[in-house]
Amino acid sequence: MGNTITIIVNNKPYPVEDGQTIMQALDKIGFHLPRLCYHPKLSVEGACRMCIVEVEGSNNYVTSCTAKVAEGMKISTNTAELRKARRDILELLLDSHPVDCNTCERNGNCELQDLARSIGVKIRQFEGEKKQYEIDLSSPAITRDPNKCILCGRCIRMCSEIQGVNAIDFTNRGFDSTVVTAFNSPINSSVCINCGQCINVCPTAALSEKYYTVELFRELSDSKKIKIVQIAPAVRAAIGEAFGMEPGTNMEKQTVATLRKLGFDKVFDTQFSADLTIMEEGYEFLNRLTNNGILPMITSCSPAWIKYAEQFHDEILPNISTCKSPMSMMSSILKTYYAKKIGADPLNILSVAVMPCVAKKYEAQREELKIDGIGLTDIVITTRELAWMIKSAGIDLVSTKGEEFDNIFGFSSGAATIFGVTGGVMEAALRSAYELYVGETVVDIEFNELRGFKGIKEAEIKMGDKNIRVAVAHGIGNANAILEIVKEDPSRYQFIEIMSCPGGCINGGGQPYAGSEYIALNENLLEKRASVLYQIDRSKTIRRSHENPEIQRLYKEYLERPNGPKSHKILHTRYAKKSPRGVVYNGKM
Amino acid sequence: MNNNLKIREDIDDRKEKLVKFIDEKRGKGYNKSALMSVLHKAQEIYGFISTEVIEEISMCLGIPTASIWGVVTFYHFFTTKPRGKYIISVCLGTACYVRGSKRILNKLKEVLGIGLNETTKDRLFTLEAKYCLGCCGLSPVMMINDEVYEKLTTKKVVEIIKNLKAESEVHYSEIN
Amino acid sequence: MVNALKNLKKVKQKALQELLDDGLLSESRIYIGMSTCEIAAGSKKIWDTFDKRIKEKGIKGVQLKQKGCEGRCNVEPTVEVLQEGKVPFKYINVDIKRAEEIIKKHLIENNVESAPRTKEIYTDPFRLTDRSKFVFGDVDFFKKQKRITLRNCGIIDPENINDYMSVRGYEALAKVLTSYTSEQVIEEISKSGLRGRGGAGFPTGLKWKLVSQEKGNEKYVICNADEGDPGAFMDRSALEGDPHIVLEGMAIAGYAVGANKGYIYIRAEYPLAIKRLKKAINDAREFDFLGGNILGTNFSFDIELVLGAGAFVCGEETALIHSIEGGRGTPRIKPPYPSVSGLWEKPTLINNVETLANIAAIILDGYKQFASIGTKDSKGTKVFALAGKVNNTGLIEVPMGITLREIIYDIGGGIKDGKKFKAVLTGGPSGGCIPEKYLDTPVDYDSLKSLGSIMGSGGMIVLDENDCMIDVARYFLEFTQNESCGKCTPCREGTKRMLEILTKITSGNGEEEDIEKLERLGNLIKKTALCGLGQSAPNPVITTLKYFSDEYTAHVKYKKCPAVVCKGIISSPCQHACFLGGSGAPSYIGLIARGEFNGAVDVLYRENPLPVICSRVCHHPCESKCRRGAIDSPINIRGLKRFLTDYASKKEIPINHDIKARKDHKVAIIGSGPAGLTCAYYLALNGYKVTIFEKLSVAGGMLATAIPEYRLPKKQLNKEIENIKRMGVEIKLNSEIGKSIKLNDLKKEFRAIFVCCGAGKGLKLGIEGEEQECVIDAVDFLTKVNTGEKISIGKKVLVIGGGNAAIDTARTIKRLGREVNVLYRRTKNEMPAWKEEVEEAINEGINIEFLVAPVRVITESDGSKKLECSRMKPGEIDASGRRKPVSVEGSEFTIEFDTLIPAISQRPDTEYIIKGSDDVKITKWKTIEVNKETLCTGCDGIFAGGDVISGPDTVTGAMSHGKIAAEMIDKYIQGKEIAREYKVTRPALDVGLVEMTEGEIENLERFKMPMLEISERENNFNVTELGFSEYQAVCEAKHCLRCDKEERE
Repeated sequence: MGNTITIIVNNKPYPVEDGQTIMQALDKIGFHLPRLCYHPKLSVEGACRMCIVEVEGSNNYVTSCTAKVAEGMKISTNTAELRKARRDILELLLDSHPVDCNTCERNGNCELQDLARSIGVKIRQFEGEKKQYEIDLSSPAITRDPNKCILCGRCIRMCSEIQGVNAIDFTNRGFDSTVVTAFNSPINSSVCINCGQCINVCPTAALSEKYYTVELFRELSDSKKIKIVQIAPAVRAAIGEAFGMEPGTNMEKQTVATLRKLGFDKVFDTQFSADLTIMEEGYEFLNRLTNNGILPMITSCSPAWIKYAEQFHDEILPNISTCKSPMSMMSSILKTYYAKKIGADPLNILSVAVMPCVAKKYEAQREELKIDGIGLTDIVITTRELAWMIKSAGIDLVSTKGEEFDNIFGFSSGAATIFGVTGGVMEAALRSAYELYVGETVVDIEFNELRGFKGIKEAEIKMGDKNIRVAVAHGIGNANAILEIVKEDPSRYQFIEIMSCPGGCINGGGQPYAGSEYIALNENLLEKRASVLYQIDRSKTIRRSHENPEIQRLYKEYLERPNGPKSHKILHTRYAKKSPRGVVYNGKM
Repeated sequence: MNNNLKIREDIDDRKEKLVKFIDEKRGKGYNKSALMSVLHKAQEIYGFISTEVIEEISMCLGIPTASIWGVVTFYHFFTTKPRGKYIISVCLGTACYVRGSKRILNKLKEVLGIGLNETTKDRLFTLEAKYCLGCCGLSPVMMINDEVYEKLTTKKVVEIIKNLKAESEVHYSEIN
Repeated sequence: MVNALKNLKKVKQKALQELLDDGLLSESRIYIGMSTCEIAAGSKKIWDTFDKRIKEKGIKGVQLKQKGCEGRCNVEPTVEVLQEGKVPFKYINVDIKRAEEIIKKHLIENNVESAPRTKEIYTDPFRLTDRSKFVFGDVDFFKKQKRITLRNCGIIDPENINDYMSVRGYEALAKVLTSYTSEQVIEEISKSGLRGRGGAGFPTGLKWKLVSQEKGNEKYVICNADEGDPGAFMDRSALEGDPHIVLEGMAIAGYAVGANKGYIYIRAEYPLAIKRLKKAINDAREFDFLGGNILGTNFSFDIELVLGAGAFVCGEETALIHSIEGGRGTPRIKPPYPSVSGLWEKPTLINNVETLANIAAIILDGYKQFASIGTKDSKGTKVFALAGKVNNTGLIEVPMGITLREIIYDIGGGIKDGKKFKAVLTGGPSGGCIPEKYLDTPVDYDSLKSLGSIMGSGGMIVLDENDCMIDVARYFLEFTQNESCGKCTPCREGTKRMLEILTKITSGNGEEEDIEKLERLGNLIKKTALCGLGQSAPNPVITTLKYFSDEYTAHVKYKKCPAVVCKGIISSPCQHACFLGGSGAPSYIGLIARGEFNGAVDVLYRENPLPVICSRVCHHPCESKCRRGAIDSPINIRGLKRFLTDYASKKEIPINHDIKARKDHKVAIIGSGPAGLTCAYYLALNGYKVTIFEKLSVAGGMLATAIPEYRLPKKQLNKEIENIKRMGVEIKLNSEIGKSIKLNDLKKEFRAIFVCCGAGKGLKLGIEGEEQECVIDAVDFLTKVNTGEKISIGKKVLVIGGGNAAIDTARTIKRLGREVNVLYRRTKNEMPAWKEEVEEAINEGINIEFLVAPVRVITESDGSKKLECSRMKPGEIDASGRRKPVSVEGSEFTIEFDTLIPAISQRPDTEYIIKGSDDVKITKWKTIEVNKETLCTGCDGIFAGGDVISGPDTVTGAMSHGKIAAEMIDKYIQGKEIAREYKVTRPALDVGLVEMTEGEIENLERFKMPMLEISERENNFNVTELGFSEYQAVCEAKHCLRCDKEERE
C-alpha cells in the first residue's frame, strides 16, 4: 500500500491511503455507499452500478468499487442527480423482482429491501413484465428462486472462487439471464455440494435452505412421538445474532430452554456425539497409523466435503475416515441404543437436528447411513430456521432462563465444543490420540497453529516415536489445494481436517445472516463466533473426549470398544463415486 | 448389422472427430481458449450441442460444465436442440426491417407452421431470425443454410419452401 | 534487410508471371461478381452458365475470373467483358437469359452492338492496367467517392494472391520490414491522423504507441471483424473483396507494437468471408508474408481466425477478448485498457477491419497523402453501407467531410419511388436518427456526435415518409435489449423497460408521461451502463425524441401513426390514412367481396357524410398507404366507393339518418363547401338547427365552382346537398357575410358560428404585364365555366402551374375545343396534381412543358400577346426535399397566346368577412387563425375550418374540419370543455373474410377503372370514369388483404 494522498469528498478534503478503490477509501472515511454485487472477499464485477459516484472530469458516473483514488480527486457521493440515478437503478431491480417482502424469509434481513428503504424508492415509474421462473425445490438442502435473483453474481463467484465447485453460472443473456446449474438441471442432480455458502452471500432470498419448519411444527404436535432434538456446537455461538444480540454471545442454555418450550421431549447435545466421533476417528487413525493403513486420513464430519470428494476426487475416498458425522452418530445411538434403553420403537422416535449447516439436510437422506433400513435423522433445520421457529412460536429467546441439556447425551468435553470451528476436530482428535498413543497427557492442549482463519494450517506433533504432520483446510478451494499437495507428496501429512465452509461450522450455510455491520465471511464476525466455542472449551473441566464419562459408559453398555465391530455397524459408513448430471470436471487442472 | 449398432457407430465416429479436433487444439497449447472453436466444431459435427457433448468437452478442456453451459447459452449461434435440415435465418436487420422482413417472417411461420427458433416435425426446417446478414442492398433477405435469398416477397417465400420440400422428397425417395 | 526486398521481388515476379501466363494470353477476360451479395443476386448461376457454355461451345481464349463487390448492390449481378484494346463492356442486373445472350452475341458472334446493352457505356479502349479506372470511372455512383480501403474491391480476384500482388500487394509490409523501425511506423500512422473506424474514433497511432510501450514479449493484435450492427456490411464486403489488405495491415501493426500473433474475430454468419480469409492466410504463409521470419527477416507474425457466435456485444473490445478466451462475451470495466491488459491479460492492440485496411496505403503513399483527405480532425475516408430507401444501395467509401446530402442524393441517387426523405440513421443501434434539417452536416466524428449520433462502424440507413420513427426506435431497442449481455443493471433491466414503453406507445396505449419516462431511462442508461454498447443503446430513442417529438405526440396524444406503420395503433392502413378518421373502408370492401352490397352501402353512408362526392373527387390517401400496393397495386378504394354510390342510386336504396332529439339551438355556417356541408351534416344529426350562408347562387363551394363537370357532375353534387337539406339544414344562397349581414349580427341569433368560406382568390404570378385582361385566374375561369357564364378566351391558352387546378383548367379548355399548353417549372415527378389526372390530361392530348417558368408578358405592337419563358434546371435540394428549379441562363424563349391562366395557388378572401369581429385574427397568409385542434377562433362561439384556415387543401381535409367543428360546437353549446378526444380507430364493422380458392387467389383479375374513350371526350363534359361493374367490384374487393383482420402485435 502506498502513501497518503488527499481526496476531496463532497467538497471536504480527506487524507486516504493511495492504491485503494474509492469504495474502500470512502468506507474508511465513513461514507458507506450502496452496493450489491460487491463482496470484499470476491473478485470485483462492477455490474450492479449501485455504488456510482460523481468524479470531477468524468463524463459518466464512476463505480467506486472499481475506480482507484488519486491525488486531488474530487468526488461527490450524494448530489441530487446521483441520488436520482441510484434510485432509478434500484427501481429497475425492484421492477423485475416479486417484492413479496411481507412473506419473504429475508424480510428485515435483505440487502435489496434495505437499499430500497434507504434510497427511498416509493412510487414506481417503470413497472413492467416480471420474471417468471419455476422455483427449484428439487434439493433437500438448497432452494433456488430465480424470480428473486438480482443477478449480482456473488453466488457464482463464491462457488467458483472460494469453493472451487463451479456448480452454477450465468445462463442466457440480457433480461433472460439467470443463475443456473449446468444444463439448467434441478439442483439436486447437479454438482452442487450443498455447502450453502451461496446462501450466505446472496443479498436476497434467491438462494435459501429448503425449509422444514412447517413439517417440524406439525411433528411437534404429534403426541405419540418421542421428540428428541440435538444441537450442534456452532448453533449456540451464533443464534443470538438472529435476535439482535452482539455476535460472540453464548446462547447454549437459552437455546436448550426454548427447544423445550417448542415441545421437544429431550434436548441433547451434538457435542456428546462429537466426543464419540473423536473416539472412533481417533482409534481409526491410530489403527491406520500403526497397521500401515491408508494415510493421510481425512476427516468426514463435513457432508458437503464428502459429496465433493465423491464427485470430483474418488481417488481420495479410501483416505476419508469411515466415521459418520457427529450428527449421524447421535441419531444412530438414538435409534438403537437409546430406543432400546427407553423401550421405544425406533420408528416412534423423531430425531431432529439443529445445525449450522445446509448440507446436513442432504446428509440426513443418505441411504448408506441407515441402520437396518431405519433412517437416522428425521428432520434437520438450520440455526436460521430454529430462530424463525422460536419467533414464530412467540418465545422470547433472549430473556428465557437458561436450562441444561438432558441426560445422558447432554454431557460433553471441551474438545467436542471446538468441533464447530476450523481446526477444532483436529485439535480434539490430537488431544485424545496423543494420550491414547503415547499414554500420557499432552501438556499444552491448545494447538494454536491450528486456530485462526488461514486457508491451510499445518502442524507437526511428536507422538512418541512418530512425528505426526497434520493439516487443516476450510473452504473447498483450500481443500482442493491440500489434495493437490497430497497428490504431489502423499507422505507429507498423516492426518487432515477438511471443513467445507470457510471458518468451519460457525460460518455454515445455515447460520444467521450477517447483521448490518458485517458481511458474510467477515473475519471479525467469525472470530467472535469462534471465541464462544473456545471459551466454552476453556470453561470445562473435562477437555478431552475420551475422558467423557458418559462416552465411557456408552462403550461399556453398548458399543463394546472404539472402532470395534459393533461400533462399525452403528457408527461408520462407506463412500462411493458419484456422477450426477454435469459432473465431469471441477475446472482445476 | 442392425440399425441401432449402425447409429451407435456413427455417434462414436462423430465423437472421435470431435476429440481429435480438441486434441489438435490442445497440442497447440490451447485449453480454455479453444472453447469457441470447439463449440463451433461440435455444432458442425452434430448439428447442435447436446449435454453429452458439453460433458465431453468439459472433460477434455477442463472447463466446468456449468461454465460451458453459460457460454453455449450466451451465444445465439449455438443451439442445444437438434435442428432441421434447412436452417432458415430471416434477416431482421434495419434495412430488411424497413423493407418488410417482419412480413416475410410471418409468412414463413404460417407456411411452416412453426414459431421462431422451432423446428418442423419432419426435421426439415428450422426457423431463426438474425440481425443483419450483411446484404442490406438486397433487402429483404433470408439465408437458408449458407445460401442467401434476396429481395423477398411473401410469394417468393412460399415458392422457395415448396421447392425445398420437393427437393428433399426426391432425396428421400432416392434413398428408399 | 536487403534479403527481404530480394525475396519480395522474387515472389512478386513469379506471381506476375503467373498472372500474365493465364491472363494476358487470353483474348477475353470475364469478371463476374462473386461476393455474398452478388451470389445472392444469382451470380453463381451466371458463373456456371458462362463456364458451361464456354466449355460446350469451345470458345477459345476466354478466362473467367471472380471479383469482389464493387459496392453497387442494386445493379447486381454484374458481368464485365474485357478485351485488351477494345471497348470494355459491363453488364448489370444480369440474369441467366441475359447471360446466354451475352455469350451468344458478344463472345461467339462478336457482335457487341446487338448484345444486351447497359446504361453504362464506355468509349475508351480497355487497358488491363486501367482496370480500376474502368470499374469506378464513368458512373455517377462513384463520382463523389474516394477509394482507399476498398480500392481493390471489385478489381481483383480475392481468392488469388497473385492478383493482390499485382496491385502492390505486401509492398508496404516489405517496406516497413526493410526500412522502418517500429517507432517510425507508429509515427507515420500517427501523423496520418487515422482514427479508429470501429466507431469511437480513437487515434490509431496513439493506440499503437500505447501497446508498443508496454513491456514484455507476449503481445497480441486483434482484428475486430465482429460486425453486428443491423444494416451494416462493410467488413463483410471488404473481407470478401480484398482479404489480404487486412492481413498486411495486421502484420504491419504487429511489427509496430511488437506482437507476433494476431487474431481475427469474425462473425460466424459470414461463411464466404471466413473461407476467403482462411485461404488468404494460407497463401500468405506460403508466400512468406506470414509465419516465422517473414521474407527472411527476424520478424515473425501469424494470424488465426476466431469465429464469433452471434453476440453483438462482442464488438465491444473487452467482451471480444472474453469471447476469444472462451468465456461469455461480457464486457468488463475499463481501465485497465486492453493496451495494458488484454488477451490473456497481455498488452493487446484491437483495431477494426477498416482501420487495418488503411495501413498499407498510408505506408505506401505516405502520411501526407492520406492526411490531405478529409477534415481537420477526421482524416482519410470512411466506408458506409448505404441502405434503406435510397435508389443506389451499396457499399461506398467517401472522403471525410462530405455532407449527408451528397451521400444520399449524389451517390445514393435520392429517395426511392420519389418519396420524401425523413431521416438518416448512422451508427446503427448505437447511433441516432438525423433529420432533414441537418443533411448538410459534414460527415466526421465530431459533427455526427454533436447531433447525438455517432459515426459508428458505418451503417447508414435512409428512411422515408413511410417509416415511423417510433417504430424504428422500438426496433433498435428490441435489438439492443435482445443483445444486452445482462451484466449491468441499467442495460439489462432498463432497455427492457424502454422497449415496453415504446411498445405501449406503438400499440396506441401511450400516455404523455411515457415520453418523460423514456427520456429519464435513456439518460440513466447512457450515464450508468457498464460498457459503450449499453451507454449508447438509448441513442436512437433519445435522438428521435429530440428530432421527431411530433411523431411521439401523434402516437401518444392523437393515437395516430403518421407513417401508418405501427400495427397496434392502426386497424388497417387505409382507414388510418383517411382524413375522416373512420371511413369504414375495410368493412365495406370486405362486404363487397362477399357480395353483400346493401350492407356495404349501409356502412359507407353511415361513416361518410358525403360519399358521392368522396367517391369522385377524394384524393384517396387511403390508397397510397394500401399494403396491396407493395405487392402489385393498391386497391382502388375510391373506385369501390363510386361503385357503392352508383349502386345505391341505381337500386334507390333509401338513405336514412338517425337524427337525435331536436334541439332549439341554432348554428350558422358560412360557406357551403365540403367543410360547411360536413359540419351541417353532423350538427343536424345531433339535432341542431343549422343555417348555411352561401355567397354564390349555387351551393357546394369549390365542389360546385372549381371541379369540372366531367369529374363531378352537378346532378350528383346536388343530390348529396339535397340529402343534407332533408336533414333540416337550411341553405341561404346569395347571402354574403360582411355585406348586408355582419358576422357580429349573426351572433345574436345563432349560438355558434362556423366560418368555412374557403380560399378562392387566385395568387398572382408576380411577373411584368400580368395585370391585363388576357390574364384570368384559374378559379375564376373554372367558376365561370361551371356556372355557365360566358367567357371569351381566344384560341390559344396557356396554363401556368402543376397542381390540380392547372390540370382541371387545361382539360376544361381542351373540352372547349381550344389549344392549350401547360407550363410547369419543375419535373413531372414533382407535380402536386394527382398522378392519374396528369396521365388523363396527357392522354387527352394536352401538352405539358416541364422545367419552364414565365418571365414576363409581352404585348406586341399589333396587340398580340407573348409570354417570355425561361428554361429551368433542377438545383439544390430545398426544404421540401425537392430540387429547387433554377433558371438556365440564356434559355429564354417566347410563346404566343390569347389567354394566360395562372393556376399556382389561392388564398382566402377574409378581410371583410370578419370586419367588426376583432377577436377573430388573420394570419399573414390571410387565413383565419384558429386553435389547430379545436378550430376555435379568438372569438367565443366562432369556429373556422376548411381552406379558410389551411389555404387551398383537399376536399377530405375540409370535410375533416367540418366534422371536428361539429363536435366542438356541440361541446361548446353543451357547456362542456372544448377539447378533442382521441381514440384508436377500429373497424366500423367486423366483417368476415371471404373464402377463396388457391386458384382464385392467383388468377383473380385486376380491372382498371373503365374510362370514357378519349375520342368521346371532345367538346363535352361527360364523366370520364365510368365505374366498376358488380363483377369487377367484387374482384377488386377480393384483392384486399384485409389488414383489419390481421392480429395486432
